[in-house]
Amino acid sequence: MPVVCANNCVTSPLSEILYDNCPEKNIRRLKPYKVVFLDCSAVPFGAMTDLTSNSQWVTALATANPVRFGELATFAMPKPETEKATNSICQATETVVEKIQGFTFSSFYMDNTTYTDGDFVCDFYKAIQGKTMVMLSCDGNWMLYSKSWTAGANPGVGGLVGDAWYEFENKANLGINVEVFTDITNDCLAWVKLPTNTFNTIAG
Amino acid sequence: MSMKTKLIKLIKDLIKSGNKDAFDFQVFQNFKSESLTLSEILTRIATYSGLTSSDYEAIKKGIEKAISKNATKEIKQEIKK
Repeated sequence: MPVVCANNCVTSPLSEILYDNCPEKNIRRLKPYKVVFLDCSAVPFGAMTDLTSNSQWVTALATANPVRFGELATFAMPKPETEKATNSICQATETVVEKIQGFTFSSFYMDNTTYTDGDFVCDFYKAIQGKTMVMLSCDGNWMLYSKSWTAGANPGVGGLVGDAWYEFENKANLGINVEVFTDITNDCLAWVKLPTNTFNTIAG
Repeated sequence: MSMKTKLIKLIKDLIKSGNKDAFDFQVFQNFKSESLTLSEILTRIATYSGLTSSDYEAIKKGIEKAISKNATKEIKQEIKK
């Protein structure tokens, strides 16, 4: 008996990945460099029509209160945690009803002059809910942003919760670890390759 | 194949063919029309969300229409020469 789909219901379309003919062009190598937190408001991005535009980012960042974290020593994006619901005991069908993406990252870079790293760690878990986040990779000038971005919207991944803490063991350097979570049940992650001047503007 | 995929393939093919025309591009009412190259339009299409299949189809038709107009112009110029 041939394998058939479970039912005839209409599902969402599955997009095709449009690969380049040159295999090496299909590889997206990342070296996470900085995470940039932006104010949740869409107002600073109200005139943004092009994520790659340096001048549009200069304008937006002037009022988006960017908080840059890095240079990063580690960055991990593990498998999202999903919550499933059973729709029918008899047919054993399960549906994902919630999908949470976590990010963990760290940096050994501190402010040894005015000690503002202490403020960052102290403020983080309360302030993060008012921020969105983009991540920059120095290899390839890639930026991680929200898939739901469109002209005039805030490009950062939103709905964040998380915490930051100091970590130290023995004679090593003092580090700051950060863990953030975002609900991607109805949103997704996206990547865009930035021109170098735009990348540098966002990275600060 | 989704309409977005068809549109992206059309633009990629036009770029490969060496097309460097500029197109008046306006997708959202709240934003002014901009003169963009196909590479710039490709980036916009690839990064914008919230566009429907009919939006992609309208953009595809717009590009095809603009290309055919430019082609006519080029042909006329060739005749003059």
